[in-house]
Amino acid sequence: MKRVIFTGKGGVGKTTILSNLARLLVRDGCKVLVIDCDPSMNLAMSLGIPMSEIVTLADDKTSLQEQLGVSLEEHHHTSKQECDHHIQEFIMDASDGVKLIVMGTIPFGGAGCICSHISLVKLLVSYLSAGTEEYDFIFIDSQAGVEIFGRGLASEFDDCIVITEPTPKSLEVAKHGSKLSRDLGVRRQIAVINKVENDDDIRFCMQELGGNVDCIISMPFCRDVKEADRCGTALMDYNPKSDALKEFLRIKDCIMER
Amino acid sequence: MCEFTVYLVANGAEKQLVAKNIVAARRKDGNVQLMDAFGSVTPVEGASIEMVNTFSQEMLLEKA
Repeated sequence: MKRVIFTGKGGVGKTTILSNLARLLVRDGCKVLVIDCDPSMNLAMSLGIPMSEIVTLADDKTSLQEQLGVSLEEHHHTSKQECDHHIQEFIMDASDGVKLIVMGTIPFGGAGCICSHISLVKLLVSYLSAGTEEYDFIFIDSQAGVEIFGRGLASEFDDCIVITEPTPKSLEVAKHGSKLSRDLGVRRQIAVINKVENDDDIRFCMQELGGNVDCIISMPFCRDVKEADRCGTALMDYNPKSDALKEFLRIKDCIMER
Repeated sequence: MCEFTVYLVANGAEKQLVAKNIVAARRKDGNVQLMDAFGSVTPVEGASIEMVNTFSQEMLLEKA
């Protein structure tokens, strides 16, 4: 099982890239579980599940936490079968057979931070990683910025896909994210330069990122991606022959390397 | 923002809200002092800290 986190500044294309990659991998016969850790909860929509049908971990976090073995109560015990059954209640079937878990959001103003939500995701990923390799890939869609690395969620993951636009601010976030993921023992940092418009963009990014990442992949700006988003549909459904999909294949090949 | 809502439990009665947005707590002279994010301190006499849970963001105090 490969565990991969997707990170980057807001609006760079994390959710779009992740959702398309997940579907491409499933079409190749892989079993893919994606976990939306962004309180904006957009990943479900990108994978064909309306907001009204989302079930979130945060809806029942204390009970799941206890079932996963974190309890102060003496003699607390839940069988693996019961635990697996409970986890299944949070797994949704998304486009092409991608499996989706949504962490959850902030239910009302002043409700508090999402630290405990992230703790639950850490616990869940740890449980799934120690299990029977039910999935070939676990993808984590993180919220914008680098805060998630401070919480240690991606510790010892296989890959960190750092998505950036060819702009100084976006690249700064990408460099910082790469550094923090390396601190956590993530094995590879793969930079995806999204929305590239010319060779100068690539040169600028190579100059900025060189030495901070293990691999750089560029994705040209593609109007299909924008139009698909505007129509509220996935690129693969909007235009299955889009040139952008060929670029996604390059990222897919990269993360499939063992 | 990792803050606690603090409740007091006494003699098996239902928990009673004491303070919100608490970032620090300490025992002093047999009391518990709760400090919120703005530095305002709420003293709770004759209490001790029974449980702290970052998952539920709750702290329970118990009257001796």
